[in-house]
Amino acid sequence: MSAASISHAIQSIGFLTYIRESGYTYPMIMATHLASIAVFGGLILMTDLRLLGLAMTEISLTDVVRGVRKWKRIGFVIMVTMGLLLGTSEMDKYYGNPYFQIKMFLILMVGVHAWIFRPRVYNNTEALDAEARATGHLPRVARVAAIGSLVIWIGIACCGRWIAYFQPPRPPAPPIPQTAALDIHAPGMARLPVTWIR
Amino acid sequence: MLIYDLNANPLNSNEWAFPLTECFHITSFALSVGTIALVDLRLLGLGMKHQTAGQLYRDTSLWTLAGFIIVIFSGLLIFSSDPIHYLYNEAFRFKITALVIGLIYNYTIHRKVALSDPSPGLGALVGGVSLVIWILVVFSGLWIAFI
Repeated sequence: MSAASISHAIQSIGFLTYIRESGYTYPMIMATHLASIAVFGGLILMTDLRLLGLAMTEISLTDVVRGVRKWKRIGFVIMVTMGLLLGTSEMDKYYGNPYFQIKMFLILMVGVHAWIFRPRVYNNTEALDAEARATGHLPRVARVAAIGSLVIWIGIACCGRWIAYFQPPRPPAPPIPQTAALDIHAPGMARLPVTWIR
Repeated sequence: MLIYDLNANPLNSNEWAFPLTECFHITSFALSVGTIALVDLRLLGLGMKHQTAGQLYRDTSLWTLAGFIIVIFSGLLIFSSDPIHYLYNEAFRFKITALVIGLIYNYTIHRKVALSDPSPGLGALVGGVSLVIWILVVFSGLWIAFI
């Protein structure tokens, strides 16, 4: 069971094949993925900016984190569901794509980040707010969590966009055999039948 | 002016330029639309209930503006890479229409209503319309590549 055969088996599942070959469904799924990045990725960005003390500083960290928590979770579910549909329906094209692989690794890092920082930051906001009131700024662990989150999520978004730009290395095409007498081209001249005029 | 040697544009000749510009475009619209969504969630009564809509608007408006500046700048760069193609693309035309409507709406009705701490009904209407417009902008932005 090579990676190639597993990925082909995945993308051959009925409804995934339908998505891949559809006219409107695939773009609609991708557009939903993108819109949820805009809405919910933005909420993640703002939480991180708050943790860094750069935005919404008059609102307590507790209020910021709790106020959007439900929507960040709903958004995460939508993003991941759409992403799974997009990725598995085109698995053959993506499994060897390094940008896709890095993106999947970064998504794993989201889990690691949550595991590390949820008890210390996201579920500990009252203590952090108390310390901010005492010292005037949030403690360093909040800044570390924010920078980690920013790097991971911006990395995910950029890798996601870059997936489309990867070109798998292809062996050079064999030269087309041509009768020497009919070869009207000078040596080294391009063999295009027309000249493109912009 | 829109007809020029497209190969002279670094977005077309440099391997990294175009995707990098798009990444700036995506991150900055996440910033703008996200901050607007924060205010809209409050207007819809769905989140951030400990703050008033006006307070949230005042706290986020600079970030929204910063996002808009970068998104429009990067958008113009992307447009410059193939102007005639984008002008003829229906999804692009729809997107720019929705963007202009969204920008005007955001800085007139949305701003006024958010700052005035509205009743739940009016707030929900204004916030809902705002979210719909910006989601349409993002949707049509993606569709540029598919039609």
